[in-house]
Amino acid sequence: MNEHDRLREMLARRSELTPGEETQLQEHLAGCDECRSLHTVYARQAALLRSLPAVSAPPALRAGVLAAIERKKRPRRWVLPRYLIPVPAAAFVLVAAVLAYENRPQGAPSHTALTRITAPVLTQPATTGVRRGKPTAVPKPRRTPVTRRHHHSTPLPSTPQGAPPVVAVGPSPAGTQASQSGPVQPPTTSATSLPALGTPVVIAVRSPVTTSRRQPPPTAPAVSTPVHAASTRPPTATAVPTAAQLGSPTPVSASGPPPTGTPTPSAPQPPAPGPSPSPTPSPTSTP
Amino acid sequence: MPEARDRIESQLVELMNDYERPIYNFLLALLHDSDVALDCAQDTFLRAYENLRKGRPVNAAWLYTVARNRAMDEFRRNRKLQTDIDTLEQVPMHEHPDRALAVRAVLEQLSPADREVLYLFDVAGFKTDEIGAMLGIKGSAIRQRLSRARERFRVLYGAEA
Repeated sequence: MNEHDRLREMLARRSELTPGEETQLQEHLAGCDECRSLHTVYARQAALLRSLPAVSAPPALRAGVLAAIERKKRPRRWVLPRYLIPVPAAAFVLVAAVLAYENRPQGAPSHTALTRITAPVLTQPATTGVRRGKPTAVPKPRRTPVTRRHHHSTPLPSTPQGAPPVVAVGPSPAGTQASQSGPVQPPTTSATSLPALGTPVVIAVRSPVTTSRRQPPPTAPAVSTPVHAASTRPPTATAVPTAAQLGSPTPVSASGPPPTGTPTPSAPQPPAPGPSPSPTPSPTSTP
Repeated sequence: MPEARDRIESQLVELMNDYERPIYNFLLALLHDSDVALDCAQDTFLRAYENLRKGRPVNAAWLYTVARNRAMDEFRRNRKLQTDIDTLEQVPMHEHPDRALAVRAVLEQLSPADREVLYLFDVAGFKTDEIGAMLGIKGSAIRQRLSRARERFRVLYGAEA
């Protein structure tokens, strides 16, 4: 770069020249017409550029910046992807089911308890099965209806096929449930359909057990005594119905007052249709 | 925390009060597209906000550098950056409207590198060393580029006139 080119470059940036450079340029301009005319052109050029009218910034500029900052300040919402929505829903259902299971009524036996009940009962005679059931799994009073059912279900072999179940007429849920095992239930009790004491009970065990899971815990365990009487074991301290009592519907109904306030399968029921010999209430009916 | 955020926002508002218009006009001179210039200016100030949040200083040189780089990104994307007639029409007519339009027309014909050097030196008032620091090149290269840009502008403006 020769001296002329260096001074032309200084002309292009004259506004930032140092005092020494300005002095040097002035000395050159005094003796160079070409550079003097160029100095005039560049000075006018800079003035033109500086005089360009500035456009006002649009209001959208500041508004957009501030809006973007506001968006950044806000915490980001956590949005669950649509395909993941069933996951919390299933988790909720699962938790709800677990909570419902844990908070179920105390009277309702658990599934494991039922298993413990039915397992020995199905494999053994009713009396031993009932006796040997784990006391922790099934409350003792709950077995009483089993034995009661068992007592009345002993005449199963002689039950006509069309005979309605005993508990089918009961308004309680237990009675409704018992209707599922209707075919093995005896018809309405009569003196003729009751077996004699000491008859081993094996077949009818299953039905009463399944029925008993819906039955509320009875208050009087006296009903179980006929079963014990039916077996070879000595009767317990509870009252043992006599044959006369078994022959009539009253002994069972007199076995003890039904639990108050709780539905029982022995609720009053209409006369059972079918070959029931008498329209009297079923043995399980309450007075 | 909210106080610091408010302080940063107030700093940004001060920056925008001082440089909102110059930055927008600089981008408008570079890009010749009002919409793209608006986008670039918004990005520039948003980056300034982020820089302030990180505790880093933001000054005019920083703003022009970010704005210029943002404009160069637009050029690299091969976006169609042509003269926006609306942009020219929104220029307020002063006592020499024809001359202002002629100057803008000349600037438009210059290369972006010449345009930015002329604008930064004559309009924004930066020194060549500062422009070199902003653009990442030596001050001597900026001085040569400025000299060439003046010469091209002189030729083009003479033809326009």
